[in-house]
Amino acid sequence: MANILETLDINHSFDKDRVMRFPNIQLEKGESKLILGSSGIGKSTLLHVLGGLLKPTSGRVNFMGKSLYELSTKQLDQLRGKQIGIIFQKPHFMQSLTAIENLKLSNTISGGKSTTSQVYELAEQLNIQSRLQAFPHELSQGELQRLSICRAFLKKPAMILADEPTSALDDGNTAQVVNQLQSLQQTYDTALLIVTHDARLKNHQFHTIELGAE
Amino acid sequence: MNRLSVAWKNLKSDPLRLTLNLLLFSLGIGLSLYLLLINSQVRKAFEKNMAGIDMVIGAKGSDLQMIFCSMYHIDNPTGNISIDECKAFLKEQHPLIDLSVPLALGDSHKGYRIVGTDQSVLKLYPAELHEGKLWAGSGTVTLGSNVADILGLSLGQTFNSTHGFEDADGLEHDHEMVVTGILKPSGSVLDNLILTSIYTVWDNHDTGNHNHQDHSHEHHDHEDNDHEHHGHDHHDEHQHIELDRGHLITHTDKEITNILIKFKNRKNFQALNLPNNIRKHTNMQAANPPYILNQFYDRMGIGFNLLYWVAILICIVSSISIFISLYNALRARKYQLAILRVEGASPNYLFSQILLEGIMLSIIGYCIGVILALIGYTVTRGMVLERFQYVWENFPQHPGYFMLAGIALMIGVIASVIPAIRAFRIQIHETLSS
Repeated sequence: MANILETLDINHSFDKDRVMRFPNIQLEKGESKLILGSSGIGKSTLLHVLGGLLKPTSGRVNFMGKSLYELSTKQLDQLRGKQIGIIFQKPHFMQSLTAIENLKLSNTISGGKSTTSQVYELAEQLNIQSRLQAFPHELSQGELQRLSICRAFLKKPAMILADEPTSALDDGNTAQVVNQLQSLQQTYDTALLIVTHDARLKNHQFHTIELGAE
Repeated sequence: MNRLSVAWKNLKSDPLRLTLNLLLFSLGIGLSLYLLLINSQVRKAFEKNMAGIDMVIGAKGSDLQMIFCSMYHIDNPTGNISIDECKAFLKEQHPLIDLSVPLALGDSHKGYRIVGTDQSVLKLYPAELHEGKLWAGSGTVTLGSNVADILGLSLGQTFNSTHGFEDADGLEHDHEMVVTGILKPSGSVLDNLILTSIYTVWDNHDTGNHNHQDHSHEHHDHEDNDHEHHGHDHHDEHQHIELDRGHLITHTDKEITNILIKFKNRKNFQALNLPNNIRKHTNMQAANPPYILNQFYDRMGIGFNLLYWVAILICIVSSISIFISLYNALRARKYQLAILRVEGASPNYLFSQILLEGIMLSIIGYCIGVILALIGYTVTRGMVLERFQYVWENFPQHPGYFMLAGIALMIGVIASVIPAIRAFRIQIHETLSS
């Protein structure tokens, strides 16, 4: 099966003294992987590189057959908007909009064609349909994270990148969020890459790559 | 979610700041527009009633008061002048004077001024009869269109005039006045006046015991204009009859209030010197209305300019306030904007979204400002109508609407362009990692 994502010799340095070297990663359609690493090792940096948010100092990132950093800003924005869903450690939403409005705005910006009923359907799968009229500041951390997952899957992307999606959650919520992620990943046949330091996720049958193990 | 909706929700997410911004902005715009409208209506009213009048003669006093009283009917007379002293200017054969219009003022009816004059006044203003006929002698009146409309007077109705310009009980004259005609609207001061013969005013103020109901309507023959020998006890003779100018000036013991004068040639040296000569050599004063009104505009301009500067200052402050609001909002929302970039929004999208918020704020502020200005204008219009009987336009057209809309838009853009550029330059990785 063709790889959705393929990286080759990615290095990145923010200053001369410290160079972060990342393992080569391949991710097929519908496949899920866990990248595990301790704090400060560059997990978020790697996720930003893979998501087209940060150009690495060297190396190559191929996504859906295209070299990400050879695309123009406009092409990269469009590709990311349509094909890459990113779930951040700390979910951010427009505070002036309700949850449903945030989802609709994201859908509009990414050029997605999800209908309102599809939004509700997805929200129902994540068990937040009853909270869609609430404003972000009225939602709990767990609800915000589920809303963030909803936003990422709404555009039916080819790949989901999740940065520490469970770091702020208790065990119960962690299990729930990971199960929902896996379930949706299978439903949408999406590639899923989780970057975390949370060892609890090892129990969820992911193919795991440990950063700093080389 | 369309962008307008997002912009509006962003703005109203901080209602206090939104209110402050809109209040400042609309006050600046509203005050500017209000001043423009008022200024234009005042100038329009003054210019429309200038009527080509080159000189006003009256009793010694303030030039401006005399002009306001005789041409605009919004002030009190400076006093009266005797026919004996001013008769030279009333003569139709005067070498410098093309038209002279005598005015006898001092009475009113329900706040509308009664002007004793002759029909030469109709040569000054574009007046046409709507119905009936022109006043024809003592006790007959022709109403301006606003007077007829607002007081509901019609042909044949009678009323008693009041001494003075205020509508006060107990000061009514005994003599009844009958409406013989109503003028068409002319947009001039005539619309607000009750025109009658000078003899009406004299008769009303005469202390003699005349019973005007008994006076005949016979027409006098004044061809010889030789009335000096009549001894000037004319009240019994020409009660309801419009008499010619030659006869009027025989009443050397009587007084009028003002004479409005149009010169044959306003650039004539003697005509130019005439006001000075009158001031120096008679007990009367004479004023040149364009000159005096320019002085008035200059003085009024200082006040208006001061208010304009206040309005401009408010606009500048509101612009700074909008800038600070958008800038602070941007700082608070930078993560949210970075997420929009992650979701596929281009830098241009963020730039235009912030710009849209500034523009939307300015448009709403402009609309509220226009409403405030029109409310203020309507209130002022009512006060002017009540106090001076001047009818201003209901919702006057003015280029200021477009000018201020442009300024409002410019303020919105200027205030939001820096925050918009910062939004444009948001670096996703740096923002989300900070």
